[in-house]
Amino acid sequence: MSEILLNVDDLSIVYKTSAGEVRAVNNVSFAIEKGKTLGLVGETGAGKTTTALGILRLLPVRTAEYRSGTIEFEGQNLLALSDKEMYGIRGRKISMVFQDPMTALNPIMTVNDQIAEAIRFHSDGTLKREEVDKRVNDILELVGIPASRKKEYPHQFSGGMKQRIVIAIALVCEPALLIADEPTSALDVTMQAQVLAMIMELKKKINTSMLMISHDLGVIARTCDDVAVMYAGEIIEMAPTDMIFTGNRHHPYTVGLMNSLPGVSGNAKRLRPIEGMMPDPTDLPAGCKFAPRCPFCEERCKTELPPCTEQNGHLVRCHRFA
Amino acid sequence: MSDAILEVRHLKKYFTTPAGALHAVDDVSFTIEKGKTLGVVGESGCGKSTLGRTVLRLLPVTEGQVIYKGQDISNLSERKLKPYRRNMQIIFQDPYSSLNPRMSIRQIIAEPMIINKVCKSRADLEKRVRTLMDTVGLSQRFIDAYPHELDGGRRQRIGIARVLALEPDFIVCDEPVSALDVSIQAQILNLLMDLQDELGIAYMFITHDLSVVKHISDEIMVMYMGNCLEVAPSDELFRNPVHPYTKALLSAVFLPEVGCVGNIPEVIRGEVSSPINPKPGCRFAPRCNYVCDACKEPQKLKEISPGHFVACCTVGANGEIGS
Ligand SMILES: Nc1ncnc2c1ncn2[C@@H]1O[C@H](COP(=O)(O)OP(=O)(O)OP(=O)(O)O)[C@@H](O)[C@H]1O
Ligand SMILES: Nc1ncnc2c1ncn2[C@@H]1O[C@H](COP(=O)(O)OP(=O)(O)O)[C@@H](O)[C@H]1O
Ligand code: SF4
Ligand SMILES: [Mg+2]
Ligand SMILES: [Mg+2]
Repeated sequence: MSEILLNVDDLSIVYKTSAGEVRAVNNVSFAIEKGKTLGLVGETGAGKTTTALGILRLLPVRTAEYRSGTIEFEGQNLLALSDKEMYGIRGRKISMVFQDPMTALNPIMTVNDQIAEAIRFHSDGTLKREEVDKRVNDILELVGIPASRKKEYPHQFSGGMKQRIVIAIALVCEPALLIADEPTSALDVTMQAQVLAMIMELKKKINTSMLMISHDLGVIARTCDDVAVMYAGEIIEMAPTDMIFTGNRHHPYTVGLMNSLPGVSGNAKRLRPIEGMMPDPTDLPAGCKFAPRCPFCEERCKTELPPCTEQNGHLVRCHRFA
Repeated sequence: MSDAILEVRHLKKYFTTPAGALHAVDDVSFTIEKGKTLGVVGESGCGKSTLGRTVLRLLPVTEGQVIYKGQDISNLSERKLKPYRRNMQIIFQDPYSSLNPRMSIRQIIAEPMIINKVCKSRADLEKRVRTLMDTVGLSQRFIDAYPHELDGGRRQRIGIARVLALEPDFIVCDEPVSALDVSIQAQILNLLMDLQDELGIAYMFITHDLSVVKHISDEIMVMYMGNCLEVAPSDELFRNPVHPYTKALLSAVFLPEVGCVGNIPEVIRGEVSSPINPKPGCRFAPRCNYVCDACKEPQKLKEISPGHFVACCTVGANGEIGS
């Protein structure tokens, strides 16, 4: 039977800035089952990274504030833990990978030393030197980097190699949850395929659950069991992956996103982009956040927040389907 | 051919580095016709931007010819080059870094017209600026705004308006939509295609995004480590990719299809090797599944069907691999 590993309920996060209060994440709820992958897709500024950092409790202390919600991981509310307890969870039970591998790698430490450090941290220093060495070599082999290069520094590797090293380090501790924020967005497509293939293989091996964040629907389609579409800090549609890409019951924003993709809308010479832009997060519309751009907008859309309606596990937040 | 706006013949651009000569562009030839788009695709570092800049003479040519409307401009002095500069322009990925932050939108768009003395009067200039803003779909209420007040999509529209001010007939577009979200990217792609239809501008469209290049190009050139591996009409390339690298590249494109969860083809292994003093022979050989002795020889483009050229010795006369 399916077992819920992470349950995010009604999460809201704001940033206090001189320009006003940025409402980055608004009443977001989702759950990830053991061994499953949830994709979080949306355009720049939708609130994806803020959601990820919120789960990890890595938000900037001075400016960010949780406004509502709970984050339950393995049955305990992460928001109620002390900083020390949270430190014990990060990097052991929950690992993360970000877009830029250099944020995770130390530029003045060899790759060997960085992987060895992660192994020692995870084993609480119980392993002998030779055992650590052997595990470093195993890991490098797994990610397709010759062990002969392990004494080199990060800058001596290509972007794809660095990202593979980061992922290997993130998975050393066999975490229950991996949060990957745009892990391949900075890579070329052939390298992206290599890195994604590696993530999926390792993930299967250790039965890790994953929160996969991406703006790329193609990447999401191949890596995720379920997909949540974010817009202006809200999840506006969520469903098992194939349902997002089939049928007619979709949020108008999801439809607009698909129509904007070259190569998807057949061979049409003109794309059908969504007019306008995402609303200013310091001044969000009162009703539906998508209303100013929506071709189906009615009066109530402008004033009433649309409810989330479900059909066969397919959630849509839109008055049209209420 | 008389319809060619740009002909590039055996173009080479080498950079001198402490480790030796870096072959950024190595013997590349192509033709772009008036009002058409040549897409240039390839992975990071393969020489796309260097090719674009060398063609515009923003970088000196190491060897070969760049022929613009019948005139070889590869060795012209800066003074002789000046009249050509107006007609050949470039749009960059990050318009922000190419826009002066201290100038208003009005000043930014007007600047090239002032420098080139295009307008007879102030009123004329103001009118041109406003017309250009209309052309690129930029609301006139932004005329006194500054670049930092605008989002990426609008900044890219300013960059385009500025370039259009001099009425070029050839524009190098270097990853113009790569920094934009898909919904904004689609708006800009539509704009570029509309402008081409109306004004007959030819584009050299550089990108690493295969869906974008397929959408916008008439012809596509695939680059790898400074070499051109395959050129073909856009539809033909996607229907019938022949070079082993092109095949790998196309199969790594992930479209949001149904029923593909967990389906991630491992297309090619290994990394791009160093472009510094590369060995003669096919540069893709170290990663290629079809490699043979003949791959150590320099590879020549051969035509396997009308307009479809491939540089791979294992490809036979009809485009089959492994002959
Ligand atoms: N001024 C320079 N001096 C030395 N080497 C350079 C210079 N400019 C570019 N190169 C090198 O030339 C090669 C081609 O670079 P180029 O920027 O043209 O690639 P690109 O295809 O545009 O890549 P990207 O997709 O990352 O923009 C690279 O190996 C690069 O490091
Ligand atoms: N440290 C911060 N301070 C203030 N605003 C922020 C900060 N980080 C992100 N934001 C704002 O919060 C919103 C959501 O951003 P983010 O979570 O980074 O989105 P995404 O990852 O989907 O691109 C955006 O409007 C962004 O500008
Ligand atoms: S609620 Fe109304 S405005 Fe919002 S997406 Fe649905 S139809 Fe459009
Ligand atoms: Mg982000
Ligand atoms: Mg470039």
